[in-house]
Amino acid sequence: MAESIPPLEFRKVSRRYRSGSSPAVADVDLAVAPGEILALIGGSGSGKTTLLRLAAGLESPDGGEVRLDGVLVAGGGIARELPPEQRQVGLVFQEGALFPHLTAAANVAYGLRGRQRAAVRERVEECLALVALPGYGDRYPHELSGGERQRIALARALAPAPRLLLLDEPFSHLDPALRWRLREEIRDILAGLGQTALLVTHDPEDVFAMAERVAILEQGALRQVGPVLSVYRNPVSRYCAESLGPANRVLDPAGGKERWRRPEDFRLPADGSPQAAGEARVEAVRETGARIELRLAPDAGAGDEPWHVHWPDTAGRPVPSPGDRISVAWRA
Amino acid sequence: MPFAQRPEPVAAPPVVADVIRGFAGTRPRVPRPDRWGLLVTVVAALLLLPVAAVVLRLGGESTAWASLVETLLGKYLLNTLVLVALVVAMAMPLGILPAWLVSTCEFPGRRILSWMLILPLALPTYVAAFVFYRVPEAAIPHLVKIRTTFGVDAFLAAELALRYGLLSLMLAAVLSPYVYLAARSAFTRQCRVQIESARLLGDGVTRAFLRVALPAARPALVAGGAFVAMEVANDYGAVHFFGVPTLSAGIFRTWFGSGDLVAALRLAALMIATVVGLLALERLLRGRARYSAAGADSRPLARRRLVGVKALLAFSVCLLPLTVGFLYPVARLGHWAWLHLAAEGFALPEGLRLGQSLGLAAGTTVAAAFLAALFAYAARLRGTMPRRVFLSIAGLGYAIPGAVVAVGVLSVTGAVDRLHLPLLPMLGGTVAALAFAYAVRFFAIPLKLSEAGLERIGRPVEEASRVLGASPWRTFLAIDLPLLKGPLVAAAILLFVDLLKELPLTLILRPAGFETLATTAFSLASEARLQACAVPSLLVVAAGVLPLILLDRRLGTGSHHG
Repeated sequence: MAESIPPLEFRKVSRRYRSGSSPAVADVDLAVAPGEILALIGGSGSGKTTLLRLAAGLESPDGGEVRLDGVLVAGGGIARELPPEQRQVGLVFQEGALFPHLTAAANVAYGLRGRQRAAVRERVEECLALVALPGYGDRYPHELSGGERQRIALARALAPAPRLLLLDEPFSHLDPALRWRLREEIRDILAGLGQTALLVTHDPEDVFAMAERVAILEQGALRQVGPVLSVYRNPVSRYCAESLGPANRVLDPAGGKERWRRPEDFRLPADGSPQAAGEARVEAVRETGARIELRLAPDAGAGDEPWHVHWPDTAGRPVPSPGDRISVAWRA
Repeated sequence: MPFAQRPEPVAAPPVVADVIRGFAGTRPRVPRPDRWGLLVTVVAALLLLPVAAVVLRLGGESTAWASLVETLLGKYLLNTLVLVALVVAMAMPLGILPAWLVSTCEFPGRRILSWMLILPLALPTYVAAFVFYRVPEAAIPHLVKIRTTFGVDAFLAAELALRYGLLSLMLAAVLSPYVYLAARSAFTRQCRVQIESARLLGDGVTRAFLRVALPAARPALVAGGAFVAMEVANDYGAVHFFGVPTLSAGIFRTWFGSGDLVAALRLAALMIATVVGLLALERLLRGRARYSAAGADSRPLARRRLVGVKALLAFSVCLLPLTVGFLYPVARLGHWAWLHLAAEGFALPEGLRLGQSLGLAAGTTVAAAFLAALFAYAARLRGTMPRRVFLSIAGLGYAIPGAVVAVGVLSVTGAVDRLHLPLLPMLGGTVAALAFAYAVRFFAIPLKLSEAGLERIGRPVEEASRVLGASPWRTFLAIDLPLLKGPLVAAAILLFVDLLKELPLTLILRPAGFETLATTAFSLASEARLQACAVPSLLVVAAGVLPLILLDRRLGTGSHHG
């Protein structure tokens, strides 16, 4: 099968905001496959938003190439970059960035210039229905809730049928319950459309709920890229591990090599089991409602910092108390 | 295109593919001229030209300069500095105390006073001078008594003190709203948390005011004071009527008297240096201290209720600048205007051309407001550093007195006219040159408000428009301009009032036979026809009052909203 052309590709892309300062993005090679939702995750200043803006044409690279559908649109020594308005990418901003003086319908219709009025109306209604807000067209942004605004922003970005959808932390300003519901809805919409998307986020929950692959950025450099669960299970560094959730540093008793284990990977080995990773002392026990969490102090050789683990429901043993010693194993 | 019919994700949608491939096919690409950069550069250059002309022609030949240095220059400088110092020293308490009282206390009349205190802004200083400059005449019997008792020197000193004192008090009262507005905003909003903390830590009201509110409000107060200083340095009408020769008056005398443009330009440069020097001195004195309003929020301060003598005292303190700076002059003008109109069968004074004045002000306002919005937007497209440079250049005119801008424009139009460019009519002495000078002088008003408005709109909204396929131009027209409506209306109001009031620049640059309300009033007052001059003066004031009230409500800074 012929290799498909990636809708978005960064080749050795760099971007520096001030000469002499450290680059916001350095030598990034990354491609988004057709129909894929790729999440870019990283802490503040990791360069994830810069990368997204480079894709949209809102920033210019200092080095490397940005390609859309295989065509060079920025960098690579071209004299004139393709301006944002000609890239035909959709962008959903953190707070929606709806045009406050336009109704929801007018917002959605904004990117549909040059079409017949009836076709625009039909498309707007179709998009409003898609985001489950039919009949909301006459409302102004200030008359919408936070979640509704984000859905209208999505409808607006999707209305011109963009080749690529960029989502810049679209859930970060929503309360947790709404965030949870909205990301499910948006994932279903994007999946239904087969929409290629690049999601920028600092929240691992967004990654798990929406993306198929994840790219982890640290100080402008790409640290790890791969399928979400694969990266989650096999992070290459503490930064990569902790970008996707809590992780415990476990040392291999033989060579002292470090590995990263998730709290839910904790197991209680059968007595004398060869899988036992070592002994640990229970320092604290905390019930959170959904589960019981333990803080363990591993014996020397097994680890050199506290482990935070979830007590397995299926253990069938009494929950230990602070001061108890327990044997520890990890899910293979 | 319905979602269901969306093409397979592997193939690019035809439109996208065409655009991108078409784009790729244009290689080798020639860089397009940066039209936005060109716009910004041209506008900034045009606005900079008159100021540059002042600087560039300083070294030219001057016949009058040598004698000016020997005779009058010291006097001009000293008078300017003394007057600026006196007026600022008086305007500060006249603005700060009422601001503190209406922000932190509740007393009968507070609500109405809190907005009426901005009304002196509608009264040009030269109009106030028409009313006040004859007041010292009432003191002549006392002055004569001083001369007979203490001698001529004492008489001269008393006369001088009376003239300077009255002029300073009048200017301070009329200009006090600059300080008042800055202080009121600082006390009610920015310093609220600090004042409340001081009160909780045991400070009384007065102590909290002196120890916390005043230092915390210092940047705002300095800004207000700087406006007052610039207005005083810029004033020509009031100092003319009170016979106080400042640098501004010197520019007029030198230009109209000897026609020596270079000498006038050198005086102008000295005037700029004075204003800049005063601002630099404040910055130096401020040192490393910071007066940021951390923790500011929009809730107003809880006000303390005053009763009895304290309430009366507070009311009186607020009434003082309002009376001197607005109520008394307006009442006097109203009386004169009535006498004139009754005597003349309610005919407007001869020479008053209302249409010319309003037309020029309105036309310049609309053009400058639109251009400023466009300029601020274009500058934003150009990145941080160039933007700052361009915005500073374009806002420069506001810090430069009208007389200076006028001689700068004269210099520029003279130079252009000498080139005899084809298709370009003569510029010198035309309405176009006057409108251009207005734009140079007042461009900062719509520019600053547009810039603040664009900041509030935020980049994401503009970027959303761009990503959705709109060009920068369409984004400006469809998104930024409608969203800038509020700031632009506010800017237009301020600009319109300023243009109607403007005197020194108009006096120098107006074409022959062209009269604005301000120049008509000035001419009539110069001929001592005070009753006739009251009519255009009142029209200027009236044109200023209503927009000021609207503006106060629009800006929402009034504590009466709280």
